[in-house]
Amino acid sequence: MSRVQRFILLFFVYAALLGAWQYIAYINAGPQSLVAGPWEIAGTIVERASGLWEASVVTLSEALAGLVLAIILGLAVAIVIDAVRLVGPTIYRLSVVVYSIPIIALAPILVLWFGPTFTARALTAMLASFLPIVINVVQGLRAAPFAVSELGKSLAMSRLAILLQLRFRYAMPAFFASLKIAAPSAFIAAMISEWINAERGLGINLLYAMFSFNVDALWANLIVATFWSGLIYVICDAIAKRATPWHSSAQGVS
Amino acid sequence: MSSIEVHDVGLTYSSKQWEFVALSGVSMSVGQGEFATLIGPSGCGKSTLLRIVADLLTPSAGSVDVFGESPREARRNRRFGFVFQDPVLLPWRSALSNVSLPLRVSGRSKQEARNRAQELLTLVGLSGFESNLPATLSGGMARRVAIARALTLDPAVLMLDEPFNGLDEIRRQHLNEELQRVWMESDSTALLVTHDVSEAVFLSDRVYVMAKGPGRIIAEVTIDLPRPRTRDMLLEPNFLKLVKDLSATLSSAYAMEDL
Repeated sequence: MSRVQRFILLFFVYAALLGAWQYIAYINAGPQSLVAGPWEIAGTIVERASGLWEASVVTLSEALAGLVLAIILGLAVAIVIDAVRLVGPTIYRLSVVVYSIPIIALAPILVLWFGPTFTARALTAMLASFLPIVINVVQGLRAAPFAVSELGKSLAMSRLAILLQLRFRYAMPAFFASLKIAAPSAFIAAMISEWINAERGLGINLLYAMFSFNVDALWANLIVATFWSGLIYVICDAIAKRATPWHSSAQGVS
Repeated sequence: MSSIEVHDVGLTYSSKQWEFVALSGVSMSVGQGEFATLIGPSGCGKSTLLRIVADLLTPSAGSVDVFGESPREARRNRRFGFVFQDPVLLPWRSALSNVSLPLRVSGRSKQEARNRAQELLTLVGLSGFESNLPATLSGGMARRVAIARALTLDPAVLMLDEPFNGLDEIRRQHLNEELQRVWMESDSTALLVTHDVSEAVFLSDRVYVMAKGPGRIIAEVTIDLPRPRTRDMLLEPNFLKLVKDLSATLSSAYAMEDL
């Protein structure tokens, strides 16, 4: 199929989906309706653009701060797990335990510790997104051929240099793949964290809209949040392809 | 001392429950500039022995001397150039910068490293492929790059661990001729691991035949053929006789369960 044909096909698929959605909203229309059609949602987004943008900036900065912390923590933990055989498995298990704590339970604890602050929300985002980075990077480091370590050793490289300069490069595709999971997770966690400790942001906006039974606003927030979450994914994917052009993931569809 | 001296080397892996003797009582002596080969059945410890000489493994008994240095000193001084079973080229680096890696690692300037790598790529017949990523090289080309990389630092010892594993007969023969050529142009002593009798005879000055259970050297064969050896020699009676004799010795190294 040519590019143009594919584009036309996709256009019709999306148009049909939106049309169906609009139709469902139309037949349910009325003051009690819980479904807002795409047209109404678009109207609400335009109408509330400045408010949604402000809320987006708040939530995105929390998520981004959390993600940066998650990358630092995730890489550090992965490298320690790989390099220090004695404590590696314990740290690995501990990471899984921490990650297994439900975000909705973790967020209040962080609020108790740090108050209803940006820090608490960023840390929630971090804890919700660091483990995919740890697991992928550890796996990626292990996937580097053993002979590469031997090559490094035969060139009198230190263990740390072999890890950082050779093996870590093999783990890069896995690291970037993990970002595609971690980044949207951080965004979602930031929103959840806002439910209990924020006055502004997309998460708290959702809650306000729900309590005031403002269906259009609820859907508008949902769409905007989904857009950002998707955009983060796309950006991470693009970075991954640029950063590891030698890897097969940069050639195929992902 | 101008040789690689392996004296009574043994390597035993053990835990509370079991003990495995990988190598026992191995001694050999390889003179400077010689091409020596370890041949034997799978699991006889020939790769292990190579790694002990290169200080990638530490023996549990015996001693090794590499031109007057311990294996560790020799490794730290980057005396070994290694070609592994797989070419293990770094997939994110071009052919040229794969070859220059050893120089960059040892702190030489980018320019010097580039020039030397260029020279070596030309030597192995790959000029024009400098900027190719490994994924775009054929199996034979990747192995040439691996050989070039191993020669970058003018190593005292060129370590070849089944370097042409998995290539077909014709490519293999071709690369063996290339290997002989580049080795003859270098001052390196070569240590090859293989299980191919004809390859061993073609390349070596001296062949050590190994057996397993435990891994040990059972025979030492001198190959006294003039160099450079050519593919025409493969069918000459004296070459074939050496192949036949070495095959017979090697056959005795195979235990019944291998056959």
